[in-house]
Amino acid sequence: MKTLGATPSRKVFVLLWKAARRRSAARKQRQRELMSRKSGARRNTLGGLTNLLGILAMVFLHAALAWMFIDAVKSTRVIDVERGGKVVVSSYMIRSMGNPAKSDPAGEMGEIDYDFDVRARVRDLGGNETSQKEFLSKHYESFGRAGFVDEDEISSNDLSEPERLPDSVWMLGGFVILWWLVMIVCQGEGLEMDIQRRRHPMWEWIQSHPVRPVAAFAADLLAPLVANPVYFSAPVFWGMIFGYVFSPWIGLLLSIPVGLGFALAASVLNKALEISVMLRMAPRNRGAVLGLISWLGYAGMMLPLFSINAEPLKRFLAQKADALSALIPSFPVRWVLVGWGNEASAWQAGICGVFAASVLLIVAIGVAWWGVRQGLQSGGGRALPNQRLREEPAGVKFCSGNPLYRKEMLWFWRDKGAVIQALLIPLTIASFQVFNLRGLMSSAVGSWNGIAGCAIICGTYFLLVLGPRSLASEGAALWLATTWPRGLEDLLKAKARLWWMFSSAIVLAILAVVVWMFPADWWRILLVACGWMVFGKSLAEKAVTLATVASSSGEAEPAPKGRQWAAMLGTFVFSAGVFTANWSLAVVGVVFSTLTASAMWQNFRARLPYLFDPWSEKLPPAPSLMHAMIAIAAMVEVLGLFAVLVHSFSMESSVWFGRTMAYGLVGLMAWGIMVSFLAKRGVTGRMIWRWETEKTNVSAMTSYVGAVMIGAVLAGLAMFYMAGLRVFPPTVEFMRSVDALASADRGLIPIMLIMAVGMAPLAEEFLFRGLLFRALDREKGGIAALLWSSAYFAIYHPPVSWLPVFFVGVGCAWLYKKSGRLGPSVLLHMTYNAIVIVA
Amino acid sequence: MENERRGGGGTDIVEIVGVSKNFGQKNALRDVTWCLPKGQISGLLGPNGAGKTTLFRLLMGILKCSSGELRISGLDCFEDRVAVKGVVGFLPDEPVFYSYLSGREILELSAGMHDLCAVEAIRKLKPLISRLGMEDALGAFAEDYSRGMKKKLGLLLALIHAPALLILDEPTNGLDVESTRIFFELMRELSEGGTTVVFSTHLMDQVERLCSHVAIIGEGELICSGTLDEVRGGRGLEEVFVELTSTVGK
Repeated sequence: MKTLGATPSRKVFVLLWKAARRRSAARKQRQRELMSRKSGARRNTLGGLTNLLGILAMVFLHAALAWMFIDAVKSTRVIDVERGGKVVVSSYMIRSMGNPAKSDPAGEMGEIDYDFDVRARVRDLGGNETSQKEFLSKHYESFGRAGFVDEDEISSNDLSEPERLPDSVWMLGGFVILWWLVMIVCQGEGLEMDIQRRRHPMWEWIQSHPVRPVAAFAADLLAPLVANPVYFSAPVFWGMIFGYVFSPWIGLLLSIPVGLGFALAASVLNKALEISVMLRMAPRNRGAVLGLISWLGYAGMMLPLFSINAEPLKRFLAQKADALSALIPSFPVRWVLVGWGNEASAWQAGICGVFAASVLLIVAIGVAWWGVRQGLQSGGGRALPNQRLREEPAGVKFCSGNPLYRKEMLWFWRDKGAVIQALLIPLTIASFQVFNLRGLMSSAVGSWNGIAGCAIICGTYFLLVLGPRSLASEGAALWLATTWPRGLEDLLKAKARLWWMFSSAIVLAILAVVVWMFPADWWRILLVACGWMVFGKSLAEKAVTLATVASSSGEAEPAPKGRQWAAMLGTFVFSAGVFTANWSLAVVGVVFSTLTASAMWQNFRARLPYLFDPWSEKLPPAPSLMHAMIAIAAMVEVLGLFAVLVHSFSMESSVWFGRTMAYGLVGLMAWGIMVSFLAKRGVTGRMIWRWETEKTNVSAMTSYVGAVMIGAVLAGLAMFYMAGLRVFPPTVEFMRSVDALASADRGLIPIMLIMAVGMAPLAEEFLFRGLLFRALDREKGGIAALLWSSAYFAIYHPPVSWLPVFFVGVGCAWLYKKSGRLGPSVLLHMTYNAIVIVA
Repeated sequence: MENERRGGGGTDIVEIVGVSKNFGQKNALRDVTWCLPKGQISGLLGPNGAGKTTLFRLLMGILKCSSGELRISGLDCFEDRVAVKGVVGFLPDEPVFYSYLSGREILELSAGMHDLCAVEAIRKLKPLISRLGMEDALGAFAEDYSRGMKKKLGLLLALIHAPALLILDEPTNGLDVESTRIFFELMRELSEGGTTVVFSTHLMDQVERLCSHVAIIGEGELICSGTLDEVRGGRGLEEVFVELTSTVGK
């Protein structure tokens, strides 16, 4: 390509670099303006906080990987020692053996402290405590103190004498460094799911100037370094490693040149790969390759988090490294870590580190040059309409009844990136997650709930990843939906429904296998399946509320972090409940997730008409479901705090009393704070206490009298229910302990009455009926609002009383809507509490 | 059914009364009042950034006006935006489509979203498809479309539900001479069939040849509106346009 008369590359680079920084600053400024316009607040401290959290998370990630390196080195040393016939144990055990020169008097055997090491070996290597204890004691019998090596001897200053180390140390250490490198190279500008990346209009515009292609892309090459904290926090990794090999000070000194050198090279390599993929590959393959890169980035991040304490995995890798070190020369890793001499040398290591980073940088620039040397005319070309793709597969035909389902299925079928993102990433994360929950798994081995829990986790991740990916696939084409009646809402709901059905098919298929394996537990698995159907729907609905509109240049705006986190709330409670076969936990997960989904949709529905017009966007009118949920959650949090205080300062016998006191007080506090919050938003207390609707058709007198009667009937039924539990064989024992606790507090009934009758109902009715039920009625309406608000009310009580409390919730909510007054509901609640406590 | 879709009563199908639209500090439109008579072709003229696209997006209910009132067939453009979509067909300046759907699949999708039978809707469009020379292109992925083809597909989508009002944002931008001619013939035929057409353009001769009504907008204000002859006042439209838009805001 002729470059005669081209603008100097340095100038092009500086200009584009400045433009990129200005663009990023302007975008942030615009987001701030929009936020302050919407909320009325002048400053948003949350943004700064999320940035800080992001940086801290990345620092933690590097530290975890460095720790993985140190741990890997230790593992190879341990294996090396064990190959010599010795066993590595804790210094506790070594100390309890006494003098190493002393022979083994059989009488002292019992005094050796095996317990700690036995437990550690069972955890790391499997087997049971008896067999491990037997192994250690036999080893001691045969070799005495000399057969053991102190763990601390291995840990300290491992690499200072490189000549004494086996080759596998460098091999495994090199593997961890390579992993770290792949992880940061694949991170890119951020972990956005968007792989539309329609940067072409901008690239074309830049290329329309007399500039060299490489110069035009050079500024882009550094973009990840600035945008993603994973790059500029990279020195943490090298600082920790060099700190371990030499000393903390040397680590600090070497971390900057080596760490930043690698960060720079990784950033350039990432962007070079991205640009090359965009320019040199067919459009359809771009999504797939970029999807794979982002998958590697994800998997790389997850591994260190889940490999900590995974002793069998480390041992396995150490053995493989040993075999590999015979085939591959390991000196480059050694030189980077300790230098080329016989003794570890910091300056040699520094030079080798900087040199390695420079080599990587040159490779990266080479890739970039190869990618862009032909400008935008290079390779790839247009999408070749593939005949096989143009045909509709059976699955798509099956969905032909609904045009939106059909469109989604065609996208899924034709976009390779979608398949990778939607299957590979969830499966990877799910398997890491399952590995992470192996503690729970081990207790669930051989029972139905282990595999059922895996199924739930798999479905959960499928939805969490597919939702945003499917939204990103809309890109700038989202305008089309605005020309259809109810197009946007229909489109998003169709997405949610379709992906819910898809994930449910996966989950139900696995559950069907579980039924086949454990036929006796069929009804439990059926309950889990029902729970999933409700839970999965709520997850899918939450995922589509993260929809954003692509800017005119085609770049998708990421959804605010706070909203992304809200979509994750309560996500794993259900799966943890299934894993542990803890039904109450599973129910809490389902109810909580469903209510969060409703709350997010209530806010989203208010936002939806303004998706293309953020300047007109307003928050939904108070009190919204989100307000109610936050108020209730805050109340429960503070209550938890009070409960701890009560337990610390009160006598065993007065715990119930203390808890009741705390409940009444905290409830009143939450009520007071909420009243003042709403007053500031123009909602008076009277507007909550009176709720006139067309359904209101009962006079005040009737409703108050009715309240007392319903309360009495419900209390009667509750006592009948409790009596039933006292004779129902599986709950007899449990009820006995509950009764014992209750009888200890009988003397305190008058004070409990004041709290549970005088205070708690006021606050609870205000929060659960006045705010939550009413907001939910606006969102779901009718019977669904009645049932879900009562379920939410019930899960904040002890599981034993869930059923009666649920019916109290139903009664109070129904009465509130019928009478248009909150007063009767409070009276009903008071009557119920009074009768239950006195009786 | 056909009549219901086309809306009833009154002679003005579009009523824009005192409409302003602000984006933060920026006033994109200021106190715009304009009414479009039924079954006529109206042209909206204005320099770049005058607010033409914003006005169309307000009519489509994609944006909400900061003050004033917009009605199409008596329906509020924002509050009744769902019903409005059944009455209006819209072609944006630069239509973008799902990359991996073919033109036909996009048409079928849109027909479905208007609650029409896809096969029937495309059969009705068939004469228009062949007139625009799109028969073969409908099988290709939208990713491979040129700008002109995207415009043509956009027009087919805008007409798929036989709307009473057709809003076209710079429709001939990027079209070749032959296609431009077909677009104009079509607009005239639609208007004769009772459809109201409003379009924005920078080309004065297009307006003079096609439109019965004209409005000129500059810096967010409606400078003048009326029938073509009223606006021209015996002079050339270009002369009037330059004179009016050069003085606005000064």
